[in-house]
Amino acid sequence: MYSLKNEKFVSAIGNLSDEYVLEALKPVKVQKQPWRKALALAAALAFVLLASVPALAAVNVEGAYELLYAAAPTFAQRLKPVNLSDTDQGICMTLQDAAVEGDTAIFRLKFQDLELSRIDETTDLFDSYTIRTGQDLKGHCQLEDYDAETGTAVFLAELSSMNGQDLRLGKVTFSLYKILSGKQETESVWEGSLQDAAKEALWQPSSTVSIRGGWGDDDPLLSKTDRFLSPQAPLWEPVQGVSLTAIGYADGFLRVQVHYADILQYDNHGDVRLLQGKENLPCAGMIAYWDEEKTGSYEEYFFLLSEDALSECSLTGWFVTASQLTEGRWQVTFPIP
Amino acid sequence: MEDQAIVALFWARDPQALEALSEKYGADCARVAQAILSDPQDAEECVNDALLSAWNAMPPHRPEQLRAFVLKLTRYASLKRLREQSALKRGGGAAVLVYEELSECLSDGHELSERLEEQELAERINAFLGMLPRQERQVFVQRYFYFAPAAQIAEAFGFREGKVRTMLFRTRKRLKTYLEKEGVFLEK
Repeated sequence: MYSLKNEKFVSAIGNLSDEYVLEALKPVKVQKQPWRKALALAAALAFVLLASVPALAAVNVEGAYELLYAAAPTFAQRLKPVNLSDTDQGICMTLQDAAVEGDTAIFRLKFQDLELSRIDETTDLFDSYTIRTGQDLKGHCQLEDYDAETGTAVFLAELSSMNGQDLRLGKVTFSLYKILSGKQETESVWEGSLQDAAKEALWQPSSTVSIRGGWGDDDPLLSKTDRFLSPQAPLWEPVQGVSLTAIGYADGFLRVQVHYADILQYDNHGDVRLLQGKENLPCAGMIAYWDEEKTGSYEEYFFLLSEDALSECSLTGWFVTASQLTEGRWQVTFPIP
Repeated sequence: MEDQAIVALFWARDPQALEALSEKYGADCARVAQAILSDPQDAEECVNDALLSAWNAMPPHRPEQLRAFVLKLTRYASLKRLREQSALKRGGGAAVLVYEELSECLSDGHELSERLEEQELAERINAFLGMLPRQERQVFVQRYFYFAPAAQIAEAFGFREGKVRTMLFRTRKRLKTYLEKEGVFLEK
């Protein structure tokens, strides 16, 4: 799949920022910054009290802001009225604290379900948030804490400048559209017979499926295969939303097809492994394609394995699923020094 | 030797600059070149090409991060050699897998805008990476800047290899969505 267009892409990655190029050489777990919560909270509250709302901001028409953002983002952000808490779908999002230090700003957002129990220790914002400031920044947001007693999740967001310069943020607007919860991680072993299942395999031409992507250890797998497994009645459902739908043997590969339901809604995903005795047999590649409804994904895993060895092998899997997606619109705007 | 001192040697046109640079970052550069090129001799020559490029670039250039600078030169020289050998067209080597994987980030049936400069595209990718949690970003850069195999990344981070594959697969999908939203692609 070599072409000029991905040549440009690969070359562009050669121009990544020095910071990311060097950062990747230090594979360490993310450490939480030793911010002093109380001090940060005090700083945030002080600024909230001091913040003035410009006259124009009283007219909080989203469309007008979008237009303004396109033309003059700094100005638009300055006009945005302060709003420290927002409730939608019975879920309340509140700014807990905010502070800035040098080229990094942090803020914490507290989430509480006022009606049901949709906020739990697995709550995920599903990449559906945007952070707007008047300047170009990099940043991310992740779950920091969960209090089971009050059902409150706290997310920590970190923002920093692209070039190490001090931040002069003014106001920050955090908008969120999806909250995913009930996430579950499952590791499980299939008790069935690979050999028996492989005998029942049915195939479909590769032209009939809509490929989502994949990876491989060797030459591109796609060019090697002209067929994919046809899904059958589930052989195994290790967890709701994931099912083993076919096993087959073709072109020297054992092929294992797993269906992940509702990937766009629940972000279901996972990985399967093959064990020969206690030895982990490496997976040679995976190709993913949409199901008929285009809401779920079939992922076909390739294992380089002789047919004779099938009887000695067992299949295990690691899966991540979720059970609750809440869609809405939550937005807070607050000043940071 | 401190980076600034090495850069000063380059600016003074002192050949010891090359020795100092090679001693300090030569092994890093060799790893990058070897990840892209299967032939060790080719890889070694590309490291030499990168050192020569550094010699030609300084002055007038004064890199802020010498290590990143020379790693980028090595990556560039190695990819250039790979293209010259037409190895990609023969479909061999580990590098082709990186090309294959990254093609997923391109929108189906759409072309990258011809007007979009490489640097501009890099800035968009930088912005996207800035939104990722640090580990996901590091894994992405390890794979697509350094061409590191998934097994090696998994070992470095203490992950299962499958987790690295899954993480990369999902990051590529998110990057594709991000670039689509950013209007990087031309309409069909």
